[in-house]
Amino acid sequence: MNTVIEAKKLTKDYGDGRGVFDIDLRIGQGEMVGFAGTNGSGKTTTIRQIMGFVKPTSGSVCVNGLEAWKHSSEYVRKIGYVPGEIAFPDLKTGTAFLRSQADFLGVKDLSYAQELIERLQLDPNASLKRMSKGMKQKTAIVAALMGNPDILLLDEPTTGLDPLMRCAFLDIIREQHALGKTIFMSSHMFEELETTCDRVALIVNGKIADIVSVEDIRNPKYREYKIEFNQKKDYEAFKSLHYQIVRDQPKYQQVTVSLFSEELDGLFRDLSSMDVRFIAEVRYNLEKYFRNRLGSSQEKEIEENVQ
Amino acid sequence: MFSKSLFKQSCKANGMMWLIITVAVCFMLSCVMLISGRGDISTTKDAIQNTIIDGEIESSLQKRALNQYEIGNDAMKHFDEAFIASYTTAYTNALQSGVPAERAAPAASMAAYAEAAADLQNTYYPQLIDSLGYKADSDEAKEVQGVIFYTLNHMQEDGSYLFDAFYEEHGEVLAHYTDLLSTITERTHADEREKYVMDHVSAFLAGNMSSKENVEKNLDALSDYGVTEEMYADFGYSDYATLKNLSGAAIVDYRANLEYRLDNLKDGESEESVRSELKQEVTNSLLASLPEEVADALDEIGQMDMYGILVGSIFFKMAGLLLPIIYMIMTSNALIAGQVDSGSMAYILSTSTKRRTVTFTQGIYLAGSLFLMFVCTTITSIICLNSVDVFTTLNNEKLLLLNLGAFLVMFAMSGICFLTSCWFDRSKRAMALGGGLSMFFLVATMLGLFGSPILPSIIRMDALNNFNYCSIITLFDPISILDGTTDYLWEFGILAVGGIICYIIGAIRFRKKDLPL
Repeated sequence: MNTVIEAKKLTKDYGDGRGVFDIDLRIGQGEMVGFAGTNGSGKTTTIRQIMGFVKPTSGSVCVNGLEAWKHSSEYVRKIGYVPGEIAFPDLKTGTAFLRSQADFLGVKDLSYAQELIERLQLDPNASLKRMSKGMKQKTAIVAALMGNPDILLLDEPTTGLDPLMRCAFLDIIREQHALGKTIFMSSHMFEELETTCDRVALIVNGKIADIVSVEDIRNPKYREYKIEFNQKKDYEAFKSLHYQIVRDQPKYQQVTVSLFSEELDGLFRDLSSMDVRFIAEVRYNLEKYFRNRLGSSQEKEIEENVQ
Repeated sequence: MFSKSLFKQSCKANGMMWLIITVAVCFMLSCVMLISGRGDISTTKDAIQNTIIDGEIESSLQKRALNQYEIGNDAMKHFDEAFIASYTTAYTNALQSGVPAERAAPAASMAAYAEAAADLQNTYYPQLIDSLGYKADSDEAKEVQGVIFYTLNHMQEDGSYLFDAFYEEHGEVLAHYTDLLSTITERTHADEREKYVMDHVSAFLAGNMSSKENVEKNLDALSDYGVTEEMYADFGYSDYATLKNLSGAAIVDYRANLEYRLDNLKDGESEESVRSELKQEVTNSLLASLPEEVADALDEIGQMDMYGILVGSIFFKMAGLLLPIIYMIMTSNALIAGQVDSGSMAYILSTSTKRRTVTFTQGIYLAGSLFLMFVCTTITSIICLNSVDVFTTLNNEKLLLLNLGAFLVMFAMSGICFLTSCWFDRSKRAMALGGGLSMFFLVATMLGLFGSPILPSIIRMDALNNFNYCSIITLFDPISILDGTTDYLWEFGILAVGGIICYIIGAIRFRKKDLPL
């Protein structure tokens, strides 16, 4: 797999601990990577450096092997960029803006743009100045995608979109991903990253805290199940079995157990003789994963500080 | 280097403002040129000029009258002394040779008159000429001679008077000096003599000055200042009665003051000093009586090309720059800093448009739109100039240079604004510094105008001239262009080079800085 975007020890120090520090990131061809992090954690700064707008203090970021600060103009045409803060040139309507953008990109065929416009239910003839945030976002998305770029760089592209439109947008992104486009998308919403991305990087205070494969989250080695019993004796009996109990709630006669997929057969066999009120899988997701990771890493940090 | 798409976008975004500002500037320009070209300016100028000329001629006439009065009076005084001396001798001789007293007196009187007149002619006059340093046949000598002998109005042997004809021609019936001789020894004689001299001198002067020959001579000398025969007649200087009143009044004035001052002599004052001081006072011309600066100023106005200054220094250097400066500040900001500040620059830079291309294209747009604006004003001004009829040194070539100068000033200032626009990410800051500086230059030029030499010194405040040294608009010098000197060439050079340097520094800075997009 060819590396498309590669950051090595990428650092931009704005002082006072703001900026990004020692970012190491590799994004391969056709891969879709999410970029998660709270506000002000450095997502936008990283993306700006990939676009070649900001000069790294140290380290480097390359796209297709070209160093961003010096050679960004050679590859940005292949990038469809949706900025975090949408502001359009001083033109009258969305159509005028899209035409001008097509002119810049040398795009002659506007049929794909037209298709996007319809799918996003965008009225491009509205005045740019009167557009709502969602409308602007849609226009920006159309502008980024219409040139059929190889790489998509999306800085919080779903903010301002209503839930329906977000679905429509994520569908489009998935399609693009299926077409083999390399996509790097930042968001503070774990859920949408989890449903679209191959990998997700978490950035905290300017540093990459973790990179995780979504596949691992979706198909974890062990899963958690919540079981509630009607009879107290069943509850007691179950507890005496050798399952790893993560959570125990005697009040409801309820336990949460964690087990590997192979053990699932055994569990059902054990439960078949018991009076079970319900059994449910406790879904494991990105948010939980990162929360755990963050919790432990913060604890680690605190420990380090104490030492 | 050049992006057509970006250029198109800039045209669309700023074209409307350009159009509005250009139309407004051209409208203002044509108003200024057409309305002031209708002659209002030259009328004002003429009025001031005429006042000055009138005053100057009047005062020189008064001076002449007083001089002639003094010469005449001195001559008659001398005549009196000579008369008394020879009368005494002649009377004594006659008595000694046994002539009876009642016959001796008239005879002695006749003899003394002849002798004193001869003395005046043969001794006093040549000596006076000599002491004044005039040649015997010069105009000045002739004038002195005329004054003395027209005043004396010599009685000829047949009892007629030599110049009665001249006085009668102007309707004057004047006393004869022979009538005053009987009281020559009395105290009132001096007064009578002075009055006699005054009457004669003023009549002589008026007659002399109103003679056709002299009027023509004066007109010849004054024609350089644009005085026509009509104006001269309007002033009244070819009219005998006016001239006589004028000179008579001046002499009366002088005599009255002299008498008073001589009666009340202060310490350190001699009769001589009082006389010259009074003469100065009475004959002070309008120019001399105003403070020196004012006099200079009024003098300047006479030589001013008011229309040229109005169009060049007032319009192209100040009033006409205001709107283009506003356009330039807003546009230079909108082209770079505004797009960086809002973030829309991201769309341009994410299309493989290099930063160098962005600055180059936007710079071309800014300078080009200003150039086009001044092409429009050039056409407007040339049309206007050719449709007004006004006295001015302005011609099409100079108008072209004025427009070029105004463009170069705008180009240099747009360089500064472009530089700040490239330098700062916030359009507020870029506008505050670049725009503020441009407005400062304009205001400094306005204030500097009140201290600049194009303003008549009467209302000029020299301290304000310092403002001219802190404005780059000063490098645009319409006066040099109007006067046809070549000073403006190197100033144009500085403006052009300075502007280009600013554009280049701005472009370099923009290439090297971080962009918050």
